[in-house]
Amino acid sequence: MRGSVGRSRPISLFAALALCLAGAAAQATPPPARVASINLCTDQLAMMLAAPGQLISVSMLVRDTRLSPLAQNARAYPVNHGQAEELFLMAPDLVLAGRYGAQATVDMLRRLGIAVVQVAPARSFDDIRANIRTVGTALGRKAEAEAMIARFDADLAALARDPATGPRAAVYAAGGYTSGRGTLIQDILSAAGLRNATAEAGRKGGGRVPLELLVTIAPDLVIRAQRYGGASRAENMLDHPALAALMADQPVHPRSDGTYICGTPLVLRAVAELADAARALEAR
Amino acid sequence: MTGLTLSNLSVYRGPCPVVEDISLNLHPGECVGLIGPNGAGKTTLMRAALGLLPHKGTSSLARLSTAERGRAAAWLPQMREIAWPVSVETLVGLGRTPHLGPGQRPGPRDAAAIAAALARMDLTDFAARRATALSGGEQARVLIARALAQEAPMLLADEPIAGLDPAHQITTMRLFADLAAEGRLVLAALHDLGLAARFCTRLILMQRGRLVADGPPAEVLTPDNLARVFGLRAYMADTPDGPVFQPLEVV
Amino acid sequence: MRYSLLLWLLSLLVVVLFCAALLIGPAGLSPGESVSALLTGRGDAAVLVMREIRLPRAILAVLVGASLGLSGAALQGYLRNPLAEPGLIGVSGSAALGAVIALQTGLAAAYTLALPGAALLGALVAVGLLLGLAGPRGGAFTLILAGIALSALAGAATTLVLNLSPNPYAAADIVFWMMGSLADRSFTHVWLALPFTLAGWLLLAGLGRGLDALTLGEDAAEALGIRLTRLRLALVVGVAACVGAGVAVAGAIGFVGLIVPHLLRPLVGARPARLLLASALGGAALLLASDIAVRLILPERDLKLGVLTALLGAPLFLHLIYKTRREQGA
Repeated sequence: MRGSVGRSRPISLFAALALCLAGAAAQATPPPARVASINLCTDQLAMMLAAPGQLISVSMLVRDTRLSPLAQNARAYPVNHGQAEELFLMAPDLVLAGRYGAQATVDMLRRLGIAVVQVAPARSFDDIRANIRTVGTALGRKAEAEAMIARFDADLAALARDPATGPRAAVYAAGGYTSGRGTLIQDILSAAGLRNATAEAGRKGGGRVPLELLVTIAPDLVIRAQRYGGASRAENMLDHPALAALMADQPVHPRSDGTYICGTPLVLRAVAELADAARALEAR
Repeated sequence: MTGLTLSNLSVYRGPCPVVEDISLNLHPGECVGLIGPNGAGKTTLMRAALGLLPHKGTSSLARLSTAERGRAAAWLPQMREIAWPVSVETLVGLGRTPHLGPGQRPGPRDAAAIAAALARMDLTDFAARRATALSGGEQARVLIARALAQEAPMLLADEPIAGLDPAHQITTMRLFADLAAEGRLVLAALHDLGLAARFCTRLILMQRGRLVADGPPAEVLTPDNLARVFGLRAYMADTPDGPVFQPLEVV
Repeated sequence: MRYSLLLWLLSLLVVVLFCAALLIGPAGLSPGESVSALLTGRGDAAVLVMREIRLPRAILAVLVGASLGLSGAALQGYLRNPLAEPGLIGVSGSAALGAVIALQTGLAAAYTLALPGAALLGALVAVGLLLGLAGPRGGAFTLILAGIALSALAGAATTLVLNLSPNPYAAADIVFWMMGSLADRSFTHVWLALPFTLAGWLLLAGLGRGLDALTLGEDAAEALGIRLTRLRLALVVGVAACVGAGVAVAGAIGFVGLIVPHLLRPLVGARPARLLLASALGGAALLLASDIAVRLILPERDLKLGVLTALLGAPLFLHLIYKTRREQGA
């Protein structure tokens, strides 16, 4: 740097930059031209909301068909591995990140002078609306965000069923994880006309439920998580004979997939599938 | 199976012979002292004779099956090992191992043998004591009692009196002589030539793996052999108390 | 006859704990409901809980616990070293590596017996290597050092294999393989482990007289008519079979084989032969008790069994090292 002080070009560049910034402050903030996302859920919202060419990178996870309903679309974007160094080299104006899990990376990016917007995981349909707004605002795509929310609400209204007397359902994922009250799953089940059996048994948030407790709760519908390749003991539990016996007279065996994970309008696909399951159960 | 016959017994460590071409006939009633300087091959000879080491040539003991050998010969290794704090009675009872069939529990005969062995070693009062809590000398006696309980016609012992006090050294050698007098065969590796001369009926002298001399003590412990094999000059005399042997000087 | 009294008491303890393991659980069934569900098959959910969840879990606790106790006693007897224990000397860790390789290569899915078989193979390599390294007398420090190296290697390789797995949950399984758990194991696992476990027990149960004789050292034992080569082979295969089968279904649970023989040794007059059966019963009791404890303390957190046994066993292990050092006068 010091060697270039005497030359005129860098100085004029700085001047231009200063002018730009002053101008931007005077008008509205211009939308960020280069946006990178490092979180599975912000990836999906950004892909749905960004202007063409605005999103320059998404996280590696979003290409995984088991985690993301947008895996195919994600192939159009270069992927990142959520590491500060590679992100810095991409020279983004804005990085979208989750609220939890990548704090070290986020701190490092901010220290490097890159703007970061963190989005909390959605715990309800209201959170979905809020997150769409947050990402839309960050991308400078407020109008698109409002339109997306309106469409989401309309679709939801068309699908939604009354859960008050519906069948009792429980999600059961690898390692015995379930979702109780105050989770996105709770809202998905309700919208599909299902009662959340583990929430009714007093579960708050996500957490492990011992298999024998699940068997005692005896839900009408157990929604198991989709299997991954390879083997793990955590998933091995989904094959327990007691669980198989519990599910023996279920007419349908839905599996939770990527649409259950992130708060995007795509949760409505899960709602639709579960609404069908609820109807099948009620028809018994 | 009456005595111990070794023919052309050799043991090699790599290409080097540790015991070389030894032939011997030992008979019941003999108390045999195996003598020689450190590294002469005494331990190796006894272990090969028992069949505990790969060897060339033959040994009448090594040819027996493991179980038969256990009934034919008792072996007291130089290392006095008592790994667990078992009672003296239990430890001595291990001597009955070769007499028990698979799954067979010790019977009255075994109990009698154990009691006799304890009594003979003056250990009856120690029967319930933990063997590991005893002094070194007491442990040595317990291990000899174990060998006695085995009731084998042969006893092979590797430096059985090393580390014992003089009284117990003499008691032990007297015991060996008595066992021989009862018709058993005793073969003991010894460093104390004086006790060997007094109590053994026969001495076998080894040097660098070879048999140098074999015969009654007076014929083996000659000034020539002593000088050649041990590098020693000694005083030896027949007294009314039996033979007396005292090493005097290194030559 | 004090030994038979001890065996009766230990058996009684196992039975009581087994019943307790069947009656205690997060489902909160009353004892009456539990027993009637188990015996008569009445009450849908209760029957599932009792017959498919609690019963196999309790049976596995007995199988695995007894295997660990028995193997600990047998290894200690052979090496004449109270510090020898399948977990500490890396046998369990190597068995876990074998199991993980079988699972991640898909072998376990293709052949039912590949899982316990691979775990057995892992354990076999470890026991063989250890006996080779530590030598016949199993000097304490050689044994412990060899065990540390083997445990570290097996642990690292297990972690590597699980990290390379395409399954995102596989990495979380590392804790299971290193610490062990009986949570939500089913009869599938019981049948998988049972044949190898029984074969291992049978081999180890026959070692009593030889181990007793080894109290006098290898040479004396052999001269007493013990065939050491055969004993060594039976020990290696027996330990590998029952520890391998246990690890394949329950992960590596440490310290059981250390705690149990240590506590029972004075009660059997320190005789290695008597310690075998007593330690098998004691190991079953300890693992049943630990498994009840993890369910009572943190029922929803899947607290690993090995955590509890290590909390009990590690201080004891340190005490044993101290005692060994003092006895050696170092």
